[in-house]
Amino acid sequence: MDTEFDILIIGSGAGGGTMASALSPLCAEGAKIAVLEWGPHFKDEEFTGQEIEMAQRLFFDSGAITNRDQTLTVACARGYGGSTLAYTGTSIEIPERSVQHWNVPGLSHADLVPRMRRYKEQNNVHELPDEDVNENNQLFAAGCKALGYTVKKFPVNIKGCKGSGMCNMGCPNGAKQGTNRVQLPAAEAAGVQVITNCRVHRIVPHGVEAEVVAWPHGKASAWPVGRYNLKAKIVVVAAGTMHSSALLAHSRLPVELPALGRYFTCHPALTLVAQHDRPIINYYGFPKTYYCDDFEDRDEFILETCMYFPFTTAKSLAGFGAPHSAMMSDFRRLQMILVLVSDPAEADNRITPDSDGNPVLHYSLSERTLDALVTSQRIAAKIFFAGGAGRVHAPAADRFLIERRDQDKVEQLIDRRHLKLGKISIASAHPMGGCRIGTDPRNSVTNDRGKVHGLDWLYVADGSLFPGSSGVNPYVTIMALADRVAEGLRERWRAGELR
Amino acid sequence: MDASGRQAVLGAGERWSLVRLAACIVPETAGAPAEVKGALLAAIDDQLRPRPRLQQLEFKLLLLGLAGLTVLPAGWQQACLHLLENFPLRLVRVGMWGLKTLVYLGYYGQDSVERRIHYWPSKHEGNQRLHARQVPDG
Repeated sequence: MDTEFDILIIGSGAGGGTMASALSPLCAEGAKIAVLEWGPHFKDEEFTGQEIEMAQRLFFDSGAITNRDQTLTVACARGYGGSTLAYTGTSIEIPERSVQHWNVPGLSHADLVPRMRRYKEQNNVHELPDEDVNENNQLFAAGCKALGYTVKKFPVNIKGCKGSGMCNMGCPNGAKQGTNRVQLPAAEAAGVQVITNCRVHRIVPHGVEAEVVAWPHGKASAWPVGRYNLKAKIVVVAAGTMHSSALLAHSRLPVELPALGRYFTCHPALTLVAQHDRPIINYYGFPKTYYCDDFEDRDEFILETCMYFPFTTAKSLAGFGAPHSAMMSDFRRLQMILVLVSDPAEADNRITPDSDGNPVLHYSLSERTLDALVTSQRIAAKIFFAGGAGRVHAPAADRFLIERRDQDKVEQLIDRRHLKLGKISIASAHPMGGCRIGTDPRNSVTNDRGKVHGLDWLYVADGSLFPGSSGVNPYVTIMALADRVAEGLRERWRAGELR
Repeated sequence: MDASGRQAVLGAGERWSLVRLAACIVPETAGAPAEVKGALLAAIDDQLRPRPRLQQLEFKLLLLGLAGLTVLPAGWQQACLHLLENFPLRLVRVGMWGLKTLVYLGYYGQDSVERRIHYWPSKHEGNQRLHARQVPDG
């Protein structure tokens, strides 16, 4: 098999998959391009919908990479398609105010918009028709409207959705249009090789040290099990925020990058649960239809509908024993809201590698974030009650359940002093930063085209590029940034620099 | 050894403590059939197996530390665990969170329990049932 390439792409998610498809036209011009993906190429029948089984198959650490002080868990998937296998597919464009806040010369919102729209079109992004909206979502909308809050529909990237609600365990119907369904097959058809079960251990000048391992699931890798030293004119790291930062740091590159791994953000989130007095249609149908961003500017959080699975729900409730069991006793009566906070980018929130190159997350929740988590719980509680819920569980309440009769006391009952880190399940599915774009090598890792400062052969093309949080679900923005990176590489190729 | 012949992470004494603690965390496990308890323990063992030895040891030490509670009456156990869950020291709260999370995983991850709590998802007919306004009934 080949061991020398023109371009090697590490990772196959929103960033890597986009790179593969955006660079694939170069294959017709003689370019040898390969994607190295750590995880397997799952067969369709391997998306079983079994919560624990799929968490173990799809995610690093079963979906719970923990920060050093164990107050936060981060979910990242691996496999052909990366985290696009396990996201819900909500397809929001980054708002102009976020790009302005990033303040990167050369990077404008106007440049990103047509790119985002191109990928949204490729991914069949559209709003769900009303007849496909279940009660979990309808009650959120009704509650928001009753309170005078704006409620918006998520555009989503699905085709042929059968409403399994199992998006976050891997779509069992092939309906979610992740890179595994759209960009990667197109790239392979154009001549890009995709090597699965292949972990990159280290990046070396103009190459990588990689290893193909056996997996108990998925299709066989294109390469036999074993270690490989691969050469490439260009290496693109798109292993996801957590692993790109760790891999680059572990590789001891021949340049000083003081910002490498730093300025990590992740939209810390809480799953809030309410109970109705009657069963509702909650887990049939697409789980995430509506959101409210009224509080984003002033309070830095958004609220989204969500519907998770029994274990995930159980661990989201702070508490245990009889009240917890009573809440869980009839899953049909539960309504859920996800609150996500736009956390600030701080230099000390960072990723470092352990001795094996695995990411270690050093992250502290800021006071602003903790305040936002409390305020968002109050708003969510009000939305639940306005939608008819009988009782609400809020992790920062002074009691396990707030009953409807006490709904007017939400502001007092949910308070910062009851928010105890380590007791509650704060989670993230949106890791960002670590290889931020910028012009100054002292506080950024790459230029606005993803090229690592000081090296003309190394690029980054995933969520680790974000200088700060996007404030919205990030995958569409990741694709747009990766598209910019690919555009720059195509220009270099056609200028003859890489031949 | 567990049922599939793999070396179990938790020893017999640790499993005994875990079953007693699980009964505080999820009271239904107290009267659950042996296969439910067995599946709970197996699922927890499966989660611990790939973890670094240090993490496994931390959990075993936690169980050792809590073993004394398991001989108390149920009400006292509950009160002590609530105290630990809200302890001023974050490390203790984290330990409790870890214990609860594993118990919930072991219990609510079982097919029979999912059916018991009326969780009957459909891989292929979710929208059909939604359109029919069919509240899940098994």
